[in-house]
Amino acid sequence: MEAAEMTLGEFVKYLAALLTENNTPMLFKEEAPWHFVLFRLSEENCEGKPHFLNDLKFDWGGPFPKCKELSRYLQFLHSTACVGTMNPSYEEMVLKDDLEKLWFSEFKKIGDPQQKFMGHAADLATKEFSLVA
Amino acid sequence: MLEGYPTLTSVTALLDEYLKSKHGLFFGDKTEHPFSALKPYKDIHDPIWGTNGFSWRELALIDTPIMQRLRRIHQTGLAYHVYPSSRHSRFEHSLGVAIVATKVFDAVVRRHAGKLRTLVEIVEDTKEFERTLFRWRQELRLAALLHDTGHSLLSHTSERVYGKLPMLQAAADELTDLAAAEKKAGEVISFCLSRTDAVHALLKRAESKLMKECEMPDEFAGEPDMVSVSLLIVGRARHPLLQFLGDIVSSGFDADKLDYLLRDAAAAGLPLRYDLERYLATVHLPESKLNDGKGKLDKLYKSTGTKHVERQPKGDGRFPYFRSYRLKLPKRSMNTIEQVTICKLMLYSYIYHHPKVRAAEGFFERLLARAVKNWRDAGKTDAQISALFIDFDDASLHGPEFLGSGDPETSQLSYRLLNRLVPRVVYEIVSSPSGVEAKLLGDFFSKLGDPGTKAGILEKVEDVMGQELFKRRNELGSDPRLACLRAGAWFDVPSLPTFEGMDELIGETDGKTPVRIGDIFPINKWTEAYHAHRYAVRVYAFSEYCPDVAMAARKGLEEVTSIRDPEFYHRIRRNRT
Repeated sequence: MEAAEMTLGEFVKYLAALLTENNTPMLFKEEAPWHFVLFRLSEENCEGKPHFLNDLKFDWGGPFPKCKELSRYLQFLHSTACVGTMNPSYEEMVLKDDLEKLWFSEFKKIGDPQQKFMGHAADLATKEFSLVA
Repeated sequence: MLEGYPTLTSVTALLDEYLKSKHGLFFGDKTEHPFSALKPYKDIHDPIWGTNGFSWRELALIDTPIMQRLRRIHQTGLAYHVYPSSRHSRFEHSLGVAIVATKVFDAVVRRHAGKLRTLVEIVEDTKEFERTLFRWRQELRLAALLHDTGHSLLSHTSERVYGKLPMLQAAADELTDLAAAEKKAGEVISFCLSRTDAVHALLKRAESKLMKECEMPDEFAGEPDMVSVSLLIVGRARHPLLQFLGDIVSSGFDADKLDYLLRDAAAAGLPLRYDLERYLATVHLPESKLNDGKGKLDKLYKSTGTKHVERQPKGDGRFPYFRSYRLKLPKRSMNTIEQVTICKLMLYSYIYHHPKVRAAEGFFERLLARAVKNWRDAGKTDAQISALFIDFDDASLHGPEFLGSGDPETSQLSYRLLNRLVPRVVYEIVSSPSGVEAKLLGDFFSKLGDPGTKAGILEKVEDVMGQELFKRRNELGSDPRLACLRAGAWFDVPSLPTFEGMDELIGETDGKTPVRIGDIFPINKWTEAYHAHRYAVRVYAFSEYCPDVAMAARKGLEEVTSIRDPEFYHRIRRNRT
């Protein structure tokens, strides 16, 4: 897959699959770290960076730079049962087993530079999520 | 002039020219409108908020075509196809927003007079406290009145079409940059209209026609700052310390929402309420940081020539910021927040996502897209098409561009819409898949929610469906899109209701630790339940084509979901027999 072809949804799915594979808890209620990760990646200029990251828009003025498209997508994954949440606290979300396998196998098919980039994104997310946890 | 925002400047110039040429009687260079002397104020009765006064300045604006057109635009689009009494208009909603915004502003003044006195001195460099507050109040009310003037026929449904015009798309991107928050084409028009010389000149003329003998005690006698008015429309203020004024007009819990929730519910006959008095009794203004990591707000304040404003270095935070005061609600106003949240979910469930309302609006969207294509083919420019939309109201459906159109498709489809011969549900897929196809459906939904893949999926379904329809009913034509349009067939994926900004609403008070809405009210639980049981994606078709569309759509759905089990399609089929 070319860098230009990866979409926001694919990025989130690969990241979720990678984090699940690494046993990193994914935050749900506290959305800010997701946005920090996306914002930081959008500012970086490294190999394998998907083009969509250059076009993302962030709202300013709130406590964190907020990408509404990301918020809506995370909500959509939850509401369509792709991810479950830890009731009743909603602190973390958990990817469904079969989807994790599917998305991880799709991740394995993307090019090396993109896989490296996603690895970097997963490291960043692990760090950001741990600040809250 | 908006330095650094060229597209918005050119749209403002186009609108100025449009107002002067199209409505010369009101905005022309030689007009004397308003023609008769203006009363200092008038009372207007509203079914939701009762009797309220409107100042001569507001009345001058209300009595112009840009506001009067809103009388002929239904607030809830085609919802009256399902709820016959949902005939209320953007006009009464705009008056309502002005009323609610005033209530919130007055509550803030009552509760935080000391803080506001300091702000007047810092921001305006004056000791004229009351006069300045009256000006802010007036600017807020003008912004509330004008905030929906960018709407066109059938409200948000048409915005989804004219928002794709490259000129307005570019302007919306620029407005998003200016406001440092996502903005759409309708807001571009409202923002730019408020900045035109034509509107400014009208307000100046109105002042000279004022009957001076009696004045409202809280009337502002000077000149409102129309730059401030335009910024308030998009949820910003001229000075970061005054951000709470922008929050009143456009934020997670703004006057717009507070009005439309009650008005839409009441008009449809739904017994939904919330406690505004509690909101007003508890609203407060904590000092906040207005983060500005990319310098967008800095650019805005420089462009407007705002004085006494300083971007703070990031310090121990992550981003540079401006000191600000934001509108917040404390934990003890929780019951109002719960009620508003539930009201919004119920309105989505009962009205906005009602299958028949979605049918009528989706059908109209396709009809409108067809009309735009025809205008483009006839050589009309973006500016000319935008001008059409600024002219249109709901009655335009009966006019030469739709029912009377020379294009038989546009004319016939308009006839169907006006007579409520709208499509029916053929397939319905709920958003909580279970069973053997859960994995495939989960992946399918994950693609439908992805802004990068959704459009491609919809196109794919329609292409396959159109080709199949032609094989079955060749009178529909070989162009797949046209075949779908003639059969009233499409795949509908509604947006989910969002509660963006709600978490930011709960603020610290008196040094207490801030709480988040999700910690004290199970908003996620409610939205989860809503999505699981009430949200669905659907395939629609006109009654006479339902059996053929069911077969054709199945082919399309098989392509995008990889589900081929006949039992699945039997289960999701909606059939009256």
